[in-house]
Amino acid sequence: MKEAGLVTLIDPGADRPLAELPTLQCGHCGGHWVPRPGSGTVRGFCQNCMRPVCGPGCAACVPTEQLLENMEKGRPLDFRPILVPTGG
Amino acid sequence: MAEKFATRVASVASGTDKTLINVFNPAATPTVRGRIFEVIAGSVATPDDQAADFYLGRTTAVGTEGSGLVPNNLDPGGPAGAYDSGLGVYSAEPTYTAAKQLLAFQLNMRATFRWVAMPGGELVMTATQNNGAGLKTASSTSTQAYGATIFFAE
Repeated sequence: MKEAGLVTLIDPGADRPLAELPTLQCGHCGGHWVPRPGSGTVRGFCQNCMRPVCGPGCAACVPTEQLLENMEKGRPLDFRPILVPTGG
Repeated sequence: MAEKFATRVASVASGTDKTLINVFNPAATPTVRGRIFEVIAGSVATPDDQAADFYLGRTTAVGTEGSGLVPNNLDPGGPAGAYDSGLGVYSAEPTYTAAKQLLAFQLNMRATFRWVAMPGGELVMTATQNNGAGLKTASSTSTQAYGATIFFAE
């Protein structure tokens, strides 16, 4: 999965960073996290928007752009417009 | 091209829900979304083996800030930005959107934390009046003084 950020931990007594950890970004809420395989934390991957998601609370596919628009327009955060195909 | 800004706080005592910085858009009808691309946090106190749990989340109300700081444009010749920032110590905390954390990390006070977004991975804030993002300590093992800097583009 594509890394979306980088965490650097710096110790004043070290001549190099203690750790450099890539972060993933949730395709729904936009939050970042450091993936820790084996931690037991449930993450996921949305096969609708093909992006990682940060957990069960973000399971419903409301892409970040839609979430921001919902917040800005005062809609429920899980609002998604109904898309109706039109002919022609 | 987006203008880049920085805002910082020198020292805020950690604890349960103690906001260091809140970046928000005070305009009645905002036209831009701020994008946080870097966060730095570290203790300014005498080093000790104590730690704090930091939380960066969306905010929908500004609370009562200890002081304010107009974010500095990184380009000294650039225009002023739309966003404003409030610094701790808050007498009334900003309102954080539940279950929508943008970044969370735990930090021993001997270390310094830096997070940088890769292009396209910025933390996007909504274009709504007084909405934005806040960095706070959610909890800590003792009362420690932390400083922090937030860089964002708009």
